[in-house]
This record gives sequence, C-alpha cells and structure tokens, in this order.
Amino acid sequence: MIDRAEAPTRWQMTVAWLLFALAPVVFLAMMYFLDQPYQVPDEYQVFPSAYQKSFAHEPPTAGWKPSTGVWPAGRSGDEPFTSIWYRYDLPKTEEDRAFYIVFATASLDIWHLGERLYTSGPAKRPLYEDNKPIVLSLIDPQTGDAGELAAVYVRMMREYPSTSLSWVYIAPLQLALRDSAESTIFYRTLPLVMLGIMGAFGFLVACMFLVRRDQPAHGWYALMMLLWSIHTGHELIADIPFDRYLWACVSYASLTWLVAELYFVNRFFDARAPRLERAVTLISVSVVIALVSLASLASRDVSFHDLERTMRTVTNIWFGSVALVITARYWIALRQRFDFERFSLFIASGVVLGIGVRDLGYDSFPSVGLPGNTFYLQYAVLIPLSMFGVQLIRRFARDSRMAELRSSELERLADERAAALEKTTQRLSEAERRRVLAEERARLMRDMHDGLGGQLVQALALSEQGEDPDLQRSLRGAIDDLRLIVDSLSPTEDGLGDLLASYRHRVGKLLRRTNFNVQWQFDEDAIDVPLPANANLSILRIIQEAVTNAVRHSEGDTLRVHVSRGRDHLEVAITDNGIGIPQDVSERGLNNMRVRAIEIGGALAAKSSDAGSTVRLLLPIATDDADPR
Amino acid sequence: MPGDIQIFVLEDDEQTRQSLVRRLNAEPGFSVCASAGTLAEGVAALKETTPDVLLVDLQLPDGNATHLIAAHSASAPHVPVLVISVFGDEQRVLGAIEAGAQGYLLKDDAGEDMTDAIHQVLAGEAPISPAIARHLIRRYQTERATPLPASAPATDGGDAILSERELDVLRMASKGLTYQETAKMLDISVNTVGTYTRRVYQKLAVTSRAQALFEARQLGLMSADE
Repeated sequence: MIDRAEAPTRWQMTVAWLLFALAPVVFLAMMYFLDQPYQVPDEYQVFPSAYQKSFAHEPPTAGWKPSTGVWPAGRSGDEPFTSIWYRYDLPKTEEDRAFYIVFATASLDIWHLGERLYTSGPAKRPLYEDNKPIVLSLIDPQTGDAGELAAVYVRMMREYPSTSLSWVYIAPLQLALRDSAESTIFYRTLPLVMLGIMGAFGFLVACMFLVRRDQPAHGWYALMMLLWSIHTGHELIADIPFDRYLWACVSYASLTWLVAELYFVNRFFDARAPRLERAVTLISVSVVIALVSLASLASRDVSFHDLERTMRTVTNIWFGSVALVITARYWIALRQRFDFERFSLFIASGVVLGIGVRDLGYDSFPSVGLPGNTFYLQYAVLIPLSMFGVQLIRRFARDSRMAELRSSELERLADERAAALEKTTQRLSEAERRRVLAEERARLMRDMHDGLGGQLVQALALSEQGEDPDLQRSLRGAIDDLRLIVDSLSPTEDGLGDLLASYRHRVGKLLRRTNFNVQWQFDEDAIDVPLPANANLSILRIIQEAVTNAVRHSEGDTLRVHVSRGRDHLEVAITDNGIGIPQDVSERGLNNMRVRAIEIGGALAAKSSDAGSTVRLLLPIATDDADPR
Repeated sequence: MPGDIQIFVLEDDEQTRQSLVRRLNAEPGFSVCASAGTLAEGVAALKETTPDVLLVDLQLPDGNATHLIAAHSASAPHVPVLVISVFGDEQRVLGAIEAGAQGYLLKDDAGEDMTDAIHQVLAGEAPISPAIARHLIRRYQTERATPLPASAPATDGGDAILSERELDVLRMASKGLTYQETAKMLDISVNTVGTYTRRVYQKLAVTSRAQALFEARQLGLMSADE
C-alpha cells in the first residue's frame, strides 16, 4: 500500500497517470461486454436503437406510415387537440407478439385494436411499465384472422413535439420476455442498487457532518451525493409522481453535483480558491438556467428543439470542464504529497472524467456511433463514490481518534492543573498562615520591645542606683530571657542557625568575662534543619540552661557547645570539664530541660562525673528518605 | 573633664538616660557633654555642643531619630553615631546605619561593653551583631543580582559593592563569631576586622547620602548652599 506522506517520485507519478488513463478504459471494456445489444434480433426492431428522433411532422422510420384518417373512428381520444397518427403494420403471423419500448419521452400513445396500450407524458396513465413487454394478440378472436388487426398505431400529441421513441420492439413473446428479464437486471436493477449505495454513502456522510460540523468537506460530500443521485435517478425512475418536464428540469439542475464536488475537494484538501469557486458556481447556475429555459421553450415549440439539444451539449461540456478542474485539483494534491488517499482519489477522478466523456459523446454526438445502450456514469459512480466515501470515513475515524487522544490529553492536563491549583491553594493558605503568624509575632515583639523590654531596662537602670547585685542579676536574666524569646519569635530569624548565632554573639560577650573558654561548634548540615519556632526556642532554652549551670556550678574552665546532625536526628551536646552536676541542680535544672525536650518530641540525657558533665539533647527530624521526592 | 571624650546622649526614658549618663561619666576618659530626651531638644543641643560621639535612641516622643542621624552624619561625618537599642530591632538599627550611624549599644550592656563599643567606634571600627550582618549580606546579594555597569566609577568608598574580604567578615559575624574569632579565622588583625565592618557601614550609608543631604537641609543642620 502506498501510504507515505512525501512528494511523488517520477516513477510514482507515471504509475498514477497510467492508472488514471487505464481505469476508465478497463471499465469501458467491461461495460462493452455487459451492455450487450438486445438478444432480440434487429429484424424485430420497429424503431432503431441507440437513436432518438423527434417525429412531429414526419414518420419515425420507413416502417411507419402517416395515418391521415382518424383511426379508430371516434376514438381520437378525449384530448382537446388534434392528434397525429402513425401506423405500423405488423407481419402477418399467428404467433403472439410482445411489444415493448426501452425508452420513450413524453407525449405519445400507442394503440392497438382500438385499445390504448401505452401513454406517456401529461396524459400518462399507468398502463405500461418500461421494459415490460405488452403482449399483443395478433389474431382477431372473432375471425381467427391476423389481417387488418396486425397494426400498431402511435398517436403523437402536437402539444409536445419533442417526443422521441427508441428501442421499440415487436417481437415473438418468448424472445421478448427473456430479453426483458435480462435487460431489466442490467438496465434497471443494477443502477438502482448503485443509487441505493450512493444514498447510503450520502446519508452516512451527512450524519458525520452533523456530528462534526467543523468539517465542511463532509457537508459538501453529502450535498454532492444528493444532487448526483437525483441526476442518476432521473434516468431510472419511470413513474415519477409529477410532471416529466419538471423532472427533466430537476435533472438538469442536479448536474451541479460537480460544483458541489469542487467545493468538497477544496475543503477536503484545505485548498483556498474562493474566486474559482464563485466563478464556477455562477457559470454553472447560468448554464443550468439557460438549459431549463430552452427546454421549457422546446417543449412548447419544436423550433427550439435543436437549440435545446445544443444547449444540453454546451451544458455537458461545461460540466465536463468542471470535472477537469476537479481532476486538476486532485492532481495538484497528489503532486504535493503522495499518499494512498490522494492517489486513489486521483484515479477515481480519472474514472469519472473518462466515463463522463464517453457519456457526453453517447448523448450529444450520436453520429460518432459510440457502442452501448445507456449512460455508463451511473454504473461507474460506484468507483469514485466508494473511494471518496472510504477516504472520508478514514479521515473521520482518524479525526475522532485524534479528538479522543486530544481529549484524554486535555483531561490529563486538566488533572495536572487541578493538582497544581490545589498545591498553590495549599501553599497560599500556608503562606497566608505564615503571614498572619509573622504579623502576630511582630506585634508581640513590638509590645515586648517597647513595653516589657523598656520597663525591664528601666528597672535595671533603677536598680543600679542601689547596691543590690542579686536584683541586678535577676533583671539582667529577665532581659536575656526576653531577648531569647524575641529572637525566636522574630520573623526575620528563621532558622536554628540564626538563633544560635545571635545567642553565641550575646552570650559570648558575657562569658568572656568569666574566664570560661567556650568552644562553639555548629555543624552546617545541622543548623540548616528546618524546625518549628517553638522547637528552636526550646533548644535555645535548653542550651541556655545547660550553659548557665555549667558556668555557675561546674567549676571548670572549658565549655563545649556542639550542634550536629545524625541520620535522623539532631544532637545538641553541652560538655564541660568541671566537677559534674551538683545533685540539687540536676534535680531542678535537668527536669526543666527534660520537660522542654519532651515537649518538642526529643529526649534529654545527662552524664555527670567528676571529670565533667555532658547534657545531650536528641531531637528526631524528618529524613530525606522519608520524603517521597 | 577637658581631654575626655565628649559624649552626647539622646534617650527619651528618664531613668535609662540618667543611668546611662551616670555610667558613662563613671568611666574614666568619658564625659557626657549634653543629653536630651526629645528630637527637638536634641537638635537644639547639637547646635550648642561639639561632641566626639553621639549615643542616640531611635524612638523618641516627637519622632524618629533616623533623620537626625542622617543630617548629622552628612554635616559632621567625622563624629560617629551609635544607636541605643534594646533588642529585636535590627531593622531599625539597620535603618540608622543606612542613615550614617556607625554602630549600636545595648541599653543593658555592662559598662565594659559600652566603653568597648565607644572606643571601637572612635578607633574607626564598628560593632556588629549576627542579625545585622545577615541583613547586610542579604542586601548585598540583592544588589549583586542587579549589577551596576562595569564602567561605573568607584568613588571615595561610595561604591556600594562589597569586597570579598568585607563579605567574609560579614559572614563570620552573621554566624555569631567575635572580632577575635573572625580575625583568627581570616588571619587578619582584630582592628582590621573592625575597619572592614566600618567600611561596610559606610558603603551602606553612602547609598542614601543624597537623601541624607536633603534631610539635613530640612532639619536646618546644613544651609542650602553648603
């Protein structure tokens, strides 16, 4: 299968052109065998086949004789106009004969034995169905003689001078019946099947158009199908429920299916040619109006008959040109990209064009003597039709699949967006919560700073006037503690590291006066661990308490504060080289520290000996492993 | 006493001011030449005296002393200003440093710390806290993010871009290291650490100098043609 989307090679184009030319030839060859001449020998033909003639003022053929008299007497019909009669004498035979007409246009009666056998045109009565033989008994039941009765009369109605008659047989009954049955299948059943398939395709595509309005190609295809089937049906439907002339006009108008196809092709290949489309539409409508007008005139006055025929030829040639333009469009599309779709449509277009030329020649130029007994386009229609239809359905399926993919992609995107939105909302609410918290902290801090802090400083200043070192120490302790709280609440001090730095800075100044050698060690990975504000404060308080205890009670000279990080915990160790923690201090101070440690989910351990003491805080932290990212 | 370091104190709280004045006067080599409790008094007193160093509380009943600091440091840049602070107000201290202050004192600082700070600032150094250092680093990084054109001339220390060494000093300070510890870490003298810090402050103050000049004229500390 050729299904690659690329420019065609020379070889591919050669194949395309070959098939383009060969397909109609093969089809015509096939039709040549199918469209056999009637099996009834020509000797029984009373009117030549493949030939239509208007015979308003002269006999149809040599076999027919004008019957000037009014016959049958008193049976000139109930029509209020003068009739012209032609008489055809049948061979005298005792065999039953069958009379049948393959094709006749309006306005004639056929009489036999004073009985009307067939009527067409406005005076139509359903006595006769095309292709169904009428059995004529050529024996006079009273005399047993075939003499005078063996004649058929055709009555022409003057009002309709364009009457024509063709393929009229009066043949032996058995012969006629067999021929009729076979020709009925080929000339009537088969085209009707085609018509049915066309209708089905058109209906299907119309439904697709209704489902997907964004594809105008579907709409044009459905319209094309409608017009084309009307045009095809014109040749097939004998018993139309309305005026034959009107029916002919509808048939002419339905030739515009080719215009619909031009629109379809342009939409199908996304080709923009609005000026071409407008011009073709305008000319086509004008041509059809001219043809219908002339047909109307010709139906009333025979002098317009030739003009009508000429116009019909002009119309056929014009629509043939439109078909040529459409074929060119297919060819251009194929040149742009060589894929199976374009390739098959190009070949299909070739079939329409080739068979169309044949039908034009058959219809408008009988002198060429093209073989065959009917139009072939109604049979050929299945080839382009199925190709268009299949490609359209393929496209529809592809589009639907794409739409499905797109919609599932959209769904996925929507889900993603919703999740992202959810996250953003969470983050925002988190940010809002933090903002409120920060504001609250700032307010608290201001209060402490401006109020409580100021008052404490003031109290300290006052106490300095007296000589009470305990009061001063107590006030300084209060200020230090308040400072710790404020630091831990400060919205700008967001990590343990920042708090530790501030603490180290402040306490360092004090400790320098105590002759204590302090070693600070804050491991980088430890102080970066994010902890809640209350945890930070508690850690600081534990450190503060441990440092104070060490300074006051250890009697050592070296103090080590180490903050480090284990795999899943934070460790704070305060070690001194003193005499150990005195019993009463360990009771009170350590308990405080333990409570604080437990409050923040940690654990405190104290080790004391005469070589020094260690207070160790262990605080579990979320590990990277626990984080799904 | 003549020859003493003349100190100007601007502090609104009566008790604290008195305590401060008493403690300062008690220190050998220091004497308080003037003290005031409001901004207006302070401005008036400054016109009368020529102190060697200013100790200024920021929140005063009749306004924020930042304007005064800006005006003063513009008109008398050789006279250092120290902000009197309690705690948790690094932002305000930073604002004062921008305006031209060279450092800060804590109200409850022991006498030793206080005299240390004053001596430091007079020696051309500057005290710094971890919080202030962090602010400065953050600020510097923001400025680095929007760099000046390479051709911009560096004028009299007015270049707001910090040197690597200055930045190192800031980083150490932000971790709570003392000048001694920093000096040891960077293998420089303690005095140099202080000088670097002072320079950082100056660079910060320079960026708002134009604003300071305007403020000075507003306060009448400088005539318009000065």
